[in-house]
Amino acid sequence: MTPIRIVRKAFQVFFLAATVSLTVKLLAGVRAPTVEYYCPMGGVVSLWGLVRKQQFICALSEMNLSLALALFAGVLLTKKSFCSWVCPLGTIFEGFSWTRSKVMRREVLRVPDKADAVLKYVKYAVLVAIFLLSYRASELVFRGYDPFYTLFTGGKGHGLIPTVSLVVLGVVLVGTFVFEMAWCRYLCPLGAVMDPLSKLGLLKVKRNGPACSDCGACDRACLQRIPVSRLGKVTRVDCTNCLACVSRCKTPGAMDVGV
Amino acid sequence: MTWKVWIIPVVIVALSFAGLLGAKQISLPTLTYMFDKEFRGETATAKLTVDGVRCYGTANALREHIASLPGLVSMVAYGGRHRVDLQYDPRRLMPEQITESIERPVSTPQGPVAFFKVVSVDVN
Repeated sequence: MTPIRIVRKAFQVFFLAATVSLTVKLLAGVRAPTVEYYCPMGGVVSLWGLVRKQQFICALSEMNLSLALALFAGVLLTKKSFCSWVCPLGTIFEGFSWTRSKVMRREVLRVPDKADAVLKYVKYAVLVAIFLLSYRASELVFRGYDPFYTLFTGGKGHGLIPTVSLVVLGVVLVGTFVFEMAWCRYLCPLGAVMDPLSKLGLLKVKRNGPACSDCGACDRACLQRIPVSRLGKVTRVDCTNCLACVSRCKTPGAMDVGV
Repeated sequence: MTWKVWIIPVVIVALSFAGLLGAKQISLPTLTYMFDKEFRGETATAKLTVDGVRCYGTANALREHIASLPGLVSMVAYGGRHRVDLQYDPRRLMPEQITESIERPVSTPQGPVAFFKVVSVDVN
């Protein structure tokens, strides 16, 4: 394993552990902020309320806004690296892929290309629905259906819907276990927010064509199904700069990152 | 692979700190409300930390809870900080009355319940 991969795994474990510690505190009855307090998606949802009424909606606060602004800056600098280095759900879903392929020795299922091309737009519809419903109600109406919130509040979060929240979480977990990164690819509203900014992302994976042996190892390594071996620069919005392609490449000088 | 790959973890660490520390530099309200739009006299401000105010819903509940208090001019609530700034007419209202009104129990089917508790008051 390359040093950069080890560091990425360490980041993922750190952020997942920090998130789980908030869950444990909540379940233990300790007075502390829940995961909602640190969720950058909350900052995104709060933006329209701040513009229209100069006030936050529901339980959102300056922390959500500040982290959302930091996230935007991060996407402009390093594309959607948040997804593959920070996001606790992303870490769990990567774990699912690893479990399926390495432990269960089962082929990772991928949605057929045609369906995949259509389903990728569902997350934008989810995002629009969240915006419209949240602003209309001045409430975080999505939190009852948010698998991140349900999972990391241990099913005890304020605003969860009995049974429904757990069913949605279960469907997302099973669906993403069966189909590689299904939540991230098709449903994650924060991913939908990041997509347009990611197109402008400064630091991206680059392939040095003349040095490349065309072995295709980079394509096979990519969890986002990006055909890296056919690209010069990876400008695709779904690239999360996980650097799996760069780490997997055995040809010296063929893969790197750059502006 | 060159040193440039290390830019990514450096950016993530820097922006994580910036995001966490930046929240302290921003101060935006959860709820802003004028009780008396016509009032033109001199006002005093009570800055209260209120246990129970944590979001738009609870701030709005507090607004309704104290709305009948005579002499209140405006209210600005900061849910994340549990802070409520109340402007009032000092000739008609005392800070102690405000605290008492906030902590006044509400009748529920289970009996009277106090939803809010004033942790600190700063008057200027």
